Amino acid sequence: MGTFYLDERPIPFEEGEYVIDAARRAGIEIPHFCYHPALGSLGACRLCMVQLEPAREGDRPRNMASCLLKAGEGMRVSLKAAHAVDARQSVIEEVMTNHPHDCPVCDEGGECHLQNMTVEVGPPYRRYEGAKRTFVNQYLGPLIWHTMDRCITCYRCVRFYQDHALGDDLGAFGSRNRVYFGRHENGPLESPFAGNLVEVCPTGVFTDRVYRRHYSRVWDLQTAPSVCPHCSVGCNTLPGAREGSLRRVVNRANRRVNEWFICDRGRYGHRYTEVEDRPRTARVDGRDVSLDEALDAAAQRLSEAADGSIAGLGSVREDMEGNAALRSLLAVLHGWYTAHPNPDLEAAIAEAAALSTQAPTLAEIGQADAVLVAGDLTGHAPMLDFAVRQAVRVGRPLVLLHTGPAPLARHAQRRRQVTPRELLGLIETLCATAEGRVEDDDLAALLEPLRGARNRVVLGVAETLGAPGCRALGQLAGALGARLGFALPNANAFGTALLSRPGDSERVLESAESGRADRLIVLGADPLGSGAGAGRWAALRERLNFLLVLDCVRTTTSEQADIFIPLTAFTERAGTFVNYAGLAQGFARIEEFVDQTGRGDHPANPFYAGLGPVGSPLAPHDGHLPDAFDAICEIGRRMGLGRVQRNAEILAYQFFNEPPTPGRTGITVDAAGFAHLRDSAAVDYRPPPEPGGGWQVVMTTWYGDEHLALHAPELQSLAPREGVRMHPDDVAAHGLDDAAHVLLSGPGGRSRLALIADAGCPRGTLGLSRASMAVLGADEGDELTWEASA
Amino acid sequence: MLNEDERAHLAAHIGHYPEPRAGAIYTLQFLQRKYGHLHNEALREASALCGLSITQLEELVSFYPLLLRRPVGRRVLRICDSIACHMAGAPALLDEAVRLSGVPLGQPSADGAVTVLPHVCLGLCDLAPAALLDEAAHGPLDAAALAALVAPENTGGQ
Repeated sequence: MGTFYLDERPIPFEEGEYVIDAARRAGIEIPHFCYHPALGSLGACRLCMVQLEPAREGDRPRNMASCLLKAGEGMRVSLKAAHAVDARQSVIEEVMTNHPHDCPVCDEGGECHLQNMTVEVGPPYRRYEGAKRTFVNQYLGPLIWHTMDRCITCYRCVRFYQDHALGDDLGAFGSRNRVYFGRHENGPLESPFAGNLVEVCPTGVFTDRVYRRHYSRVWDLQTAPSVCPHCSVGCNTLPGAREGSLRRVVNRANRRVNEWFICDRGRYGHRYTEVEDRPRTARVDGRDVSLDEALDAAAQRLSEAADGSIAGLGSVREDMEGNAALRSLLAVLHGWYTAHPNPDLEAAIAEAAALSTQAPTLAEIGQADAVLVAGDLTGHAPMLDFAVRQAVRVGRPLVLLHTGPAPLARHAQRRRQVTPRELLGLIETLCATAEGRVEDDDLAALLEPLRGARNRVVLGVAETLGAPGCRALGQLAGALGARLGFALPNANAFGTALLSRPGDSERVLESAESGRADRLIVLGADPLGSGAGAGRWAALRERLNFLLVLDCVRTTTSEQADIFIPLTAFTERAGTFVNYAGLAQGFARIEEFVDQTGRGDHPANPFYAGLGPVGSPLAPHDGHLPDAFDAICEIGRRMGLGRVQRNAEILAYQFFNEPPTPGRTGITVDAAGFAHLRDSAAVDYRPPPEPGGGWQVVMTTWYGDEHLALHAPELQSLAPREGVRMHPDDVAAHGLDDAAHVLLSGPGGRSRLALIADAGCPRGTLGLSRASMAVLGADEGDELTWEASA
Repeated sequence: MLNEDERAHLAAHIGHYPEPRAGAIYTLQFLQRKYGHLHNEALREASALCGLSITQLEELVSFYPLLLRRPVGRRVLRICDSIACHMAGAPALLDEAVRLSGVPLGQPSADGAVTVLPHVCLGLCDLAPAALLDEAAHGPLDAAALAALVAPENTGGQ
């Protein structure tokens, strides 16, 4: 700790801190281009020049780059000194010699760092009248637009892409004043984090190609602090809307979650809100009706039901409020609620959440001395993968255990790939080895990089580990003295675990299968289509007398609904998600989407009087949709059950005292919440079956694979080819090739898929996408039969 | 295609370094000597040996003017265009070289004998304006000396 003086103003600094960082903490932004809080100092652009007063009598003052000048006790520096001002102006003048004057047609205009710096530092006019250097732009895929002429050579893009995201297909080519940032040839950028180039580029070289299609100047956007709905990390985002449509999503820094970056699923997945086939009209028995009519009809048909004959399926991709409302409604109707179509997945989530009392934040993962990962983080929670890359980047070892293909395999110091049914045994034996109960040189070598590391982190993927695997990984983390965290399915799996009791999922399925429950309410889930456990659900459709579906996207299930109620997307409502670490975060509605109830001639609706912490909902008239909480509470009210809403409000926030405020730091689940999770997880699981010699299913996923993001066309255009993946040796052993098709049979159905040779799948396994697994009714590790098909 | 011996030689060389990518420059120079320039197949071979992506190799090749991505003539004349040579008349020399070779800079002359390239500082400021013909230094050059340098008897052209 010490003090230095910037233009006579005392600035406190920490030992070893650079002047630019200390000034920043004191609220002074020293002009800069190549410095970035996340990327650090480079000293390449010289724009952050300050004049350093000499410490010794007779020395002359010097200009120094404040991003590389370590603050010292009593040091005196000046931004205002004439020499420093001259130096900074010459930097601006130099980068502006070639920069085109195309601000009026540049997408960056209005949030352009170069514009800001030029106006702030000067000079305001160009003296250079010569020809400008120009480049040919590249096609970088459907997400990023490239305009190389605007480049000022700060290297932020390549530093982010290669050094932080560990991507290797964006580079700096050439030298001198012809440095070019791009790929070796046209083609989509391969990194799951490429979209951050849009934000790190200080000018308009890399801009958002999706935003461009329906562009708005940023000062015309309405924004609200939101939370990404596309995975369990819960990155903080700032979506922007205009004229009733969502235009883009950018990162919103939160030190406890994502600091500076989000993944491309989060940045581009929001397009589910704008697609043509997004459902915006309520339906009763195939007829389009007003929302009012649909709510009445739903209340009517649920009122006719016998006590206990209604089941409800919530969703891990719906917020706390919606799930709590559904559970509350079913409690009053003596029906069963679950958020999980698949009992095994429910158990895995409960187990993983209960073990996440000390789950590390992204920053803590990045600062770990050694990391062990079990599963494919990239496909399940891309920003957890990004956090692991931050540890790898500074030379920390990564040990990877995986079944299917995993992009992190390239960066692992040690790794072991096994079939799904071997994974549990591997983790258990590793645990025994770590505890010294078993002598196994091979496994000791696998764990060797973790030896001697003080600050260890273990991360798993709940969906593919299953409950026994999660439990075993918990024991391994204990043996290693490591912090433990899990990637959970979707945005609110942790929250739904808090609302669930063990066995809920099985009870709902059994009550429907036995015919006790013949009416089903589905909220934000697709049990008849892509939901896990689709096999059992698809067989149920025939037995149901009534299916009510509420959702913000079109699904196989919503198409089959007797009554369908369209919902707001997550940028159009306020609510709460609980992330993988049990951090409850509120997200706000963008005002664009709020109906101006009470203005003009629209009468205020009593339906909205006295709403609690959720805020005022939307008015149910044309063009406005309800959110899940309001729709379900309103159905309750129309059934004469006013207490549904009161109970739901208590349920939703019971484990964090109060609803978390959007834009503020979230609230961590309290001890009672973790106690509830421990009770939920305290059951004996069926051990997974021994390998039966058949072909085991391995889930192959990718960073864009999530239920809502599946409706984002630009992102999905990058999806890997659909098919069944097999190890090349297996393909050759069966005399097949890449042109073959394979007919697969599973408990849920049959499927004919193209054969794809993929060395990322272990021998004797079938790599399938989530969608194909749902069609076949197969989970990770299930054994299927197959035959070559003409 | 590299043969077994060449592959073994490169693998051994790369093995001397703590990281395979440290052997990239040597590997690229080796491949260029073999093929005359670094075509896509050469970059793929280097990528497999050094663990750098094609983009990362392209970063190196595009930075170092001694590494060539396009076919060149049998001899390469590199005319320095950095500051000392520029002031001593390099721009006029480059124009003259284009006239003499009959093709734009960087292209092999019609008889395939020579390719003229501008080059970053050769460190021959005492000989400004200077040039390299393959690996031999020449300078100070004027139009007559340049003509002699690229004359057919010197470059094996017609």
